[in-house]
Amino acid sequence: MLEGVFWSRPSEDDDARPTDPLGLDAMREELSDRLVPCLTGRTRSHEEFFWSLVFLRWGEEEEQTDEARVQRFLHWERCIKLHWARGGRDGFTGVNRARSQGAEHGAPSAFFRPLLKNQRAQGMLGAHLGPLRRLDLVSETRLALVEEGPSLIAGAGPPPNLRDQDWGSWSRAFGRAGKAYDGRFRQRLRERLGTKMPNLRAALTAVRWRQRPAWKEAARHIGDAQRPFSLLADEFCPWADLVRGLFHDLVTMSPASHAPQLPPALSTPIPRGLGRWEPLRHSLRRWRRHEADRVLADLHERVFRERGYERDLWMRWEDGRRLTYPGRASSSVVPEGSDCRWANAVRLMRPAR
Amino acid sequence: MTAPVAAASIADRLADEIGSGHVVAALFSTFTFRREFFERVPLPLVTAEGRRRGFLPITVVVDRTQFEGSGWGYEVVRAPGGRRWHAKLAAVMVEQQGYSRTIVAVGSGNLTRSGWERNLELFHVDAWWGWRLPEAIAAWLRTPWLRASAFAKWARDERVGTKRRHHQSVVGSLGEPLWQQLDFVRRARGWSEIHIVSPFGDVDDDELEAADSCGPFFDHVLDHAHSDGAPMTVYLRGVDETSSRAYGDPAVLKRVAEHVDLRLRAVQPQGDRILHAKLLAARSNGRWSVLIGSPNATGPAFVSPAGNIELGCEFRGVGRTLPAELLPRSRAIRLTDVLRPDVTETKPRWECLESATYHSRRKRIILRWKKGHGPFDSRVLLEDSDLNPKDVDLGRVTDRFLKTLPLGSARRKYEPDFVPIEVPDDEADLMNAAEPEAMTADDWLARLDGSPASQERWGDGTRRGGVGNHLDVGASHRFHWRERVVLLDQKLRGLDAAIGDVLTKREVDHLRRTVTGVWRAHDPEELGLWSEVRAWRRWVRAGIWQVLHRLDQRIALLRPLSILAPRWKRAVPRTLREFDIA
Repeated sequence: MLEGVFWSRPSEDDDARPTDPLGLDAMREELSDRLVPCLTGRTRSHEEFFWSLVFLRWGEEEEQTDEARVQRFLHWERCIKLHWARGGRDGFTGVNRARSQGAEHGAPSAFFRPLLKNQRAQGMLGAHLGPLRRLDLVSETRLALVEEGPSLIAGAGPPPNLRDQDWGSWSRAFGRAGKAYDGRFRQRLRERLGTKMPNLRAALTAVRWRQRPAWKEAARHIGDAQRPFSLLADEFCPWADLVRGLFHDLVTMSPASHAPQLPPALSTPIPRGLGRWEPLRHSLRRWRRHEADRVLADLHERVFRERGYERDLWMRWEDGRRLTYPGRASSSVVPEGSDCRWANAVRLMRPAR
Repeated sequence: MTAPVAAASIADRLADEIGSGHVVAALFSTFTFRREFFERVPLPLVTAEGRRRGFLPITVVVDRTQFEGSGWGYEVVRAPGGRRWHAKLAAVMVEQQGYSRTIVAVGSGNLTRSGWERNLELFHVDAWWGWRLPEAIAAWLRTPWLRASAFAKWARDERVGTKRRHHQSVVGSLGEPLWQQLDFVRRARGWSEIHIVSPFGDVDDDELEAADSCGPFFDHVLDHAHSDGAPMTVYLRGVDETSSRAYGDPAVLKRVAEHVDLRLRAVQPQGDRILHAKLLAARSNGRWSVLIGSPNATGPAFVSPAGNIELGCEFRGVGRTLPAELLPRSRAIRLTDVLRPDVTETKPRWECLESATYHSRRKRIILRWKKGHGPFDSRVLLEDSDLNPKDVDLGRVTDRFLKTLPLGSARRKYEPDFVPIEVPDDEADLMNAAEPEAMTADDWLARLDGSPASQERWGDGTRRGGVGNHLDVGASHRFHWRERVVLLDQKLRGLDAAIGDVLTKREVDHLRRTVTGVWRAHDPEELGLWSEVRAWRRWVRAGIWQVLHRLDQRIALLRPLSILAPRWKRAVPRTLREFDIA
């Protein structure tokens, strides 16, 4: 009788885009686009590249318009993620909802229900389409594979027929297509990434593909054009994490508590051409380490004002005191991509041993 | 056996219900409203991740005291004064494979991050085929102040009907207090047991008056008790995670305890999750009925004839037992553990204007000042600049509201107020907000894919969201070809997607207006253009033509769009000049 009634709880959308109250993520993205242009913060595995290409090809075979191909891509992405979740796999976006949809009575069902609130943007398509275009594997003007794209996934076969309530047909279909994902695919993708980002490959090779971000060392080998960005990334990445954490503490701590000290201002010059860095440039001119609340409230207000959210501030500096609104703030800080895509670049470009 | 009440995310539930359908209109109602959150979570849900933003009639009704202007692609309507607008609603009208569908979510959560993602709230999401709304909501759309809203107009155009359910009903207090609409009250039956979940204390700024005004509500409840000593359980918001204290009005509860078997329970916060749900479950004649929604256990919410505007969902005849997990996890407390909440005093708003009305022919805004106020004590801003009411071009304005601030020493005592600019009915609607002659090529191009124009600027001073070409070109000027080409590509791709998404004639007309506007604004033969700008305009026209050219075989609905391609064929440049874009 009370069907449809529920207590609220935070979203299961395990990969919602983090809110960026200081604009630091946007700055980092801009910096990362200079250093690692062919990857994103969410391109983490060769396999997802593989399936993205496969789903684009299947969409191309099934549909004529780009919009319909997008819908097919989202459909196939959902299906493989249900299949992965059933096999106990995790570490992919949408895993929570994939698990719950896969465990429902009558599963698996090919009826589309999104795994993420914004699956088109946050799922495999949003993460991989830009990089695939920059790698010249997908057309710039439509959703279709070009150049080496089709040959990379040769052997994946035509779009399979998935039957409802029959996990066997799903396993067979994805197993058959997945056979095309092999060492050769990974090798060719690595080569292509290296060809498109030769300076980055040279720099990573010089620092021996170390896992920990080492943009400063990489700067020596990355070329003149990218050196200033690499040096900035070395200082900015940990610095921005620290500042964002400090801001979160300030918003959530008692208004009476004393504000912690800010880290020293960035010492590396900010190169020209980074358009999103203007609010930070302004703040750095009046960077007083013992006035963390004033400095960060000012930066936050500038960023939110630019976006038209000046009435939704999480923290304000007024009459010499800090006013906070924790109810408006996100509950946690997501450090996604905080290494300027270093780890992703190493993982995807490092030669096989 | 009744199924237990589950826990879910309201955003996920709505996303599931919408599924692969296209939203064609949406109505939201809330007390508090946070634009940043709304544009981040609820709005992308109904606009296909923003791709259809600007194409749909989306209306948000907020309390008068919370209005802070609209945003691009949706309108925020300020409820009139006199009654507190406390109702929380999301009504989403969907088209799915040629069928229409209505999704209605009623609950206790405001359109804020707390309301949707943090607090302990109760919601009810229901969906049915056809575009029909419960009468309590349809009645809002007939009020003179909401009638002119984009959603109400859409509902009239589509002849949206009303929906009734047998065992549940959506009840609102617009015409009659909620109390009189409760099933057991209408049938003049007394309750033999009752549970009241009512959080007191300030969360989301929407319970400032609650603890003070619960007396009349409990008087009515006591009047309908089946017998003296009937059990009544009141769930209060716990003060913190560890103690057994809770917020409420000890004096009222003491009085109540003299007549019934009062049991008090504290619902402790779970981390930053604080009780904000409202529930009334009454047993009469052996069967339970349950009301959830926006009303707190107060006089203005339930019993005052001209009290708050509330919205709830009543379930009649739930059964002989309540479903498991319906009542919140709680701990028994004593009356002495109840504290009056400390309500944070907020600064009042500087309400100096009665109204502001736009006259398009004279291009001016007529301000009606409140008694005792005027330009001598107030500052009026439009889009962050001082308003000159005698010279206003609303076609250039995205957010149609005025911001009022006090002058002098009052500045510290008051918050700014926001006053919507009233536009006569015969003016352009939300979808046709700007006057064509007032729009630059930048503005037109920014709208091509239905996305809002960004405020970021190019190095050359033009706005970045639109790939501009109104340039004040100096010696140091550099035409940002690379960025422009990338953005143009995005815009054209967006246009293609938007064309793929259109469903109604209204949307096709809107697209046609936009595309025609972009085409006309990019006339390469215009006098006085720099060669780069001239070349750029040819690129833009060629791109648009290519997108439209693909539409030749489309269905009749898209004909107004697809006939543009042959019409413009002669004007499409045969060759395009190439530039180095390193």
